[in-house]
Amino acid sequence: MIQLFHVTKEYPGEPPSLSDVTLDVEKGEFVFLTGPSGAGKSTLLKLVFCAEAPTSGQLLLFGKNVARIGAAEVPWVRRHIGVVFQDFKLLPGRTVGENVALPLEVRALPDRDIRKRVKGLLRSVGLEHRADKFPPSLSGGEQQRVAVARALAADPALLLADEPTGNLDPERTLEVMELLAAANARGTTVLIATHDRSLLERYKRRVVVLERGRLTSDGAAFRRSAGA
Amino acid sequence: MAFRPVHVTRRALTAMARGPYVTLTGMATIFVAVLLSGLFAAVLSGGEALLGAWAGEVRVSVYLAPGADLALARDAARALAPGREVEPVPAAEALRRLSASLGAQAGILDGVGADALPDAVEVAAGGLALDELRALAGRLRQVPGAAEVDYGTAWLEQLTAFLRRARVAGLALLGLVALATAVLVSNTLRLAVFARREEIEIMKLVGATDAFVGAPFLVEGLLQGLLGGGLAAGALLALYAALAPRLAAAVGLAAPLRQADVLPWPLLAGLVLGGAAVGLVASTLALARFLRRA
Repeated sequence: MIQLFHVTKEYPGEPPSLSDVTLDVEKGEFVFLTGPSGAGKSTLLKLVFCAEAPTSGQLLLFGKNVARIGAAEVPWVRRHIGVVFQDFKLLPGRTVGENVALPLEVRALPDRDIRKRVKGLLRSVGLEHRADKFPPSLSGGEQQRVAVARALAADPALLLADEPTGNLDPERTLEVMELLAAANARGTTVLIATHDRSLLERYKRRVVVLERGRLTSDGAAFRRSAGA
Repeated sequence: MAFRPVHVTRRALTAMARGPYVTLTGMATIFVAVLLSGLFAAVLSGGEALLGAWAGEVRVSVYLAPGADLALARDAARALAPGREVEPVPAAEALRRLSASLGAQAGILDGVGADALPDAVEVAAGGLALDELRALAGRLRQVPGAAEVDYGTAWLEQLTAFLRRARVAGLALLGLVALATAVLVSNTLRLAVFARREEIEIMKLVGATDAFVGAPFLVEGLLQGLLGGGLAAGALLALYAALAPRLAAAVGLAAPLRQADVLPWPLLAGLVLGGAAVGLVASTLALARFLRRA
């Protein structure tokens, strides 16, 4: 699903954000990417998401080398990926339903199908009754659930989450994590960047540790069978 | 991805409704530019129509040398200007007409001999363009005994030359105005694009192509141009309706002007389409600059 071979990412005038990282995430896995701030977690997610290109090395997504992908191809790769951010990245001027519908609109689905799908997604995250509300009127936990619903709207093969619970209290954190785990149980590969050790201990999945841009540990001890 | 014009137009209209300030600014800029261009074009078009009307009333006079045969000259003129009314004007008749045209001041001709003016042949030149008139006058110089050919249009020639130069200058000016307007509107639309940068960023995150992101902005520019241009065309028609009767009353020479002469429909359609084109170019510029950075 995701394969990095000796990937390095450098920005001018700064030490490498990622240095010679080699990593293989298989289809259906649930992987935590952890490490201190500045370790390179978000950079790695940006590379996987094609927001940035590696300075050197190879990055294979779904078997396709995206390290030197052209700008015109990026949207088509992203359509197989759902992303959840710490700050939710919801459009405040659009309703909850409209936010969730975005990935489906982009895919030019008929309006009727979009409405039906959005309804189902909001039901799955327990927010069906909030469809016509605007995000600023929702709590942080609710907003993140909307973001998860949007990320899952188009049934992505891969779900990336960058500190998805960073702004949430413990109870809301569990709600969001259960949604991500449920997506994984349905077959979606999940890669979560977090520095919340309680999550690693609670979910006991594969843990990849980055420090100063280097992969220092790949916690196979936590590895479980795909989708488990 | 399938192109969905209704969906794209709906997104553009929603965006225009959510950002009316930017929409109105863009429309107003295009309105002013199209109105000024239209005014200039209307003056040129009206001027050319007036020239045509005035040239159409012209008669070409072939003045004969003393002793020339008037009948022979008349026949030659008929042969050189087939189908046109040719009138021989003997010297005495010419003097009588001059006297009649002087009216109360005719007394100044007292004592002037009947042969003071030359015999002449007059050829009606109605409906001819200035170039054709000039060619006809050239042919009539071959009339036996012709001393001078006058078609009284030296001033028309000068005006025509002036209008020709004005048209060239006008076209260059229109080009500059269109470019300046496109840049101005493009900057305005950049504000709209910038205001929606978060939306664009998120759309791209969920897999939107540049075409999907950009299409509503292009439609928005097009609509602003169409509306601005359409309003300018309407304003020009209203101006014409308000000013034409007063102009005709104040300057008799302007009386023959009709709306089709000053603001022909092709010109009005061109202005509206020009406004739309400027809006489209402006939104393309705004978007290209933004998407390059996004």
